[in-house]
Amino acid sequence: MAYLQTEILGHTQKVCRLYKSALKHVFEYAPNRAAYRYAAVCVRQKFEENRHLTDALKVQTLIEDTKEELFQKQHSHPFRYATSPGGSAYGRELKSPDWVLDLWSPDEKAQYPEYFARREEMKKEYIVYWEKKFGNKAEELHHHH
Amino acid sequence: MTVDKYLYQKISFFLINFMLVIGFTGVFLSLSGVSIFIEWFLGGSSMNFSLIFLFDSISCFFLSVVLCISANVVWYSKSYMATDPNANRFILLVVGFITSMAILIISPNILSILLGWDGLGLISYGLVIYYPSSKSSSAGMITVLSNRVGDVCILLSIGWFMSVGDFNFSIWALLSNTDFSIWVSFLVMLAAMTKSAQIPFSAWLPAAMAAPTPVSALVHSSTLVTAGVYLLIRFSFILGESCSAFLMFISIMTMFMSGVVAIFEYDFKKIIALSTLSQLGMMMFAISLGLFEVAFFHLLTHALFKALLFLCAGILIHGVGNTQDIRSFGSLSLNFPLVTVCMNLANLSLCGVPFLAGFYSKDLIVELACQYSWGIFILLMMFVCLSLTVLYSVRLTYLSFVSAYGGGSLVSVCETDYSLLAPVVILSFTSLMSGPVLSWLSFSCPTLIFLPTFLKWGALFFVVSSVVIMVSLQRLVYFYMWGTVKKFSGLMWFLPWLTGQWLTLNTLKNADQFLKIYDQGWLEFYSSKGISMGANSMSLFSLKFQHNSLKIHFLVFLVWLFMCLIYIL
Repeated sequence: MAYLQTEILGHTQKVCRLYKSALKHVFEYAPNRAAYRYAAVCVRQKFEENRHLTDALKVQTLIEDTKEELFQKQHSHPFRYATSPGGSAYGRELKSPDWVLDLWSPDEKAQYPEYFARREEMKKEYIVYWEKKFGNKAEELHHHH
Repeated sequence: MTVDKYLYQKISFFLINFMLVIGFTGVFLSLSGVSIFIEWFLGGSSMNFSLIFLFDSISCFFLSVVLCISANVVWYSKSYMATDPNANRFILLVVGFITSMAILIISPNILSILLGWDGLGLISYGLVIYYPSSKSSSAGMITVLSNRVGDVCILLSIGWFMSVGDFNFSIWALLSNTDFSIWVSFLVMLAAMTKSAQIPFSAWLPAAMAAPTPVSALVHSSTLVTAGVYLLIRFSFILGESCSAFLMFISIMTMFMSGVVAIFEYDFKKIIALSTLSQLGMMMFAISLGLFEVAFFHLLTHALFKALLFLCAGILIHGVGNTQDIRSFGSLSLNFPLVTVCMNLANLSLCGVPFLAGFYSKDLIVELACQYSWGIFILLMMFVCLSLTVLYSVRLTYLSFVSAYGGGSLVSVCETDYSLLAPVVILSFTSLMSGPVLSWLSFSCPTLIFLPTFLKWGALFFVVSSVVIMVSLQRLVYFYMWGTVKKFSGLMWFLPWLTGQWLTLNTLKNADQFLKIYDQGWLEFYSSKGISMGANSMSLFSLKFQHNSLKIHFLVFLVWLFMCLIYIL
């Protein structure tokens, strides 16, 4: 295999994923909703025709051939929902990581004294919770020596 | 959250007032044939600095159109960017952009044009990377680097102007016998090509649609991209015959490429961006034919209806849930009746339908081109590009307003926000009136055009037939029609890849080789490391020679000092 196998898929999952890819493919090409519905019904019919097959080799070959056909005929502008990865409105909100607040200067922190005071308390509470759950690694290493 | 609740309204009101003052000044200057130079002079005997602003009919009309569009876009942004947390940064960037554009327009010499030019490039980068997504970041990169090429060309041409003696284009334009080197003509033309996104610098304009829609309406349709055309109009004296021929070829190719790609594009804003590209090609085509006043007229009318088109697009995109894919649109005329009317007005202007704004400017270019044409191929390509404009405009209208709705459920598909609608309505009226009014102001007497009947009716014939063809094609349901052409055009003829990834990847690979072999290799060996190693070995030799004795070292130093003194004395 040319790629790392990261999950083991059952046959049902493979077929369902292929069916969804095929529906997405016909949606991308369809000029209107009615054409998409007609094409979707045709896709479903093709899947139903091969539903009875029991020969594993035949089934796998069909799946691979369909994947290859979908790859060869892929649309130049795949449809993406706006807020999904690859969409036009994806990644517009920037959430800074929490540690950025530690880099604030004392003048800036002084503008929100209660917030930062509570934050320091929460940090200590988090350390206590962590050590209770996972133990204190630093103490264990120290004891080993 | 903005600091002042009425900040946007105040800025918009100021811009409207400024526009009215400049507009009336422009009318007065146009009718009286007067130009005003305002000069600030600083200096004494040996060093003199002066800052000059030029107010003539061209600069006043262009500035008033820019201010009109800016005022409407700022008012529109009040509602469009209301939920954005970085709205302060947005409005600062927009105001900075308008200032840079104003500096560019009222500058009479290439030095102060550079100030505005560089400001435009820098601020447009800031506006394109406004959203913190990777798409915006890469779009901003390609925008700023493409514009940077133009900046370098302007800098080089400044050096050339320094050698010939004067930076002011108004002085050079008065001289009848100007013989400029082809290099400075080419540099100025190249700068204009980068800003106006002509081939091969076209990749940045569709990519820049990652910016917010008000930015696209202001920056990428009517102001920044027209700066290149404006530069060529001001420096019209510099274009020789060979540069004009080259520009004609480039402009025709750009019009054709953008027209074909727009037909197979599925992003709403990118279709409009490609339409802008096509019209910029039309303006450059007019300039290459020597029709500078007509190109300027088309620049003004196009700016107004293209900004209107983008604002309407913003309302539709907002309405269908922020998606820009045209497959999610459809039947929006039922929910957005006013926006439909305004957008159709803009589209019909774009197509050159009689007595709308685009008809006055575009049809004039077409008819004058037929009269002064350089050959049958050029004429044919021009009419083909005209048809392509109509084809993609009709496709846009059909898929947005006529075909069945293809989006999701649970979206608020309605037009109720008057802060969004009012600028659209104002720009519609302005665009409607701009055609006849600007033609009366720009052309003091009507242009006499003598053409055979078939050429006279040619433009209208191509427009009508393109409408019929596209409406018929939309009803065809063959999925894989024109598969290869679709893929080739869908990837914009591989231009973004060629001028972006391919070019930078190869350049970076070569640069990596240069760095490792030359910069960190042989150059280090022979220059810095070599000198230090040589000095080190010489000092080791002298230490050995001196048997590590400090007395002998000082004696040697005294002998050397004595010999130096003998030499000097």
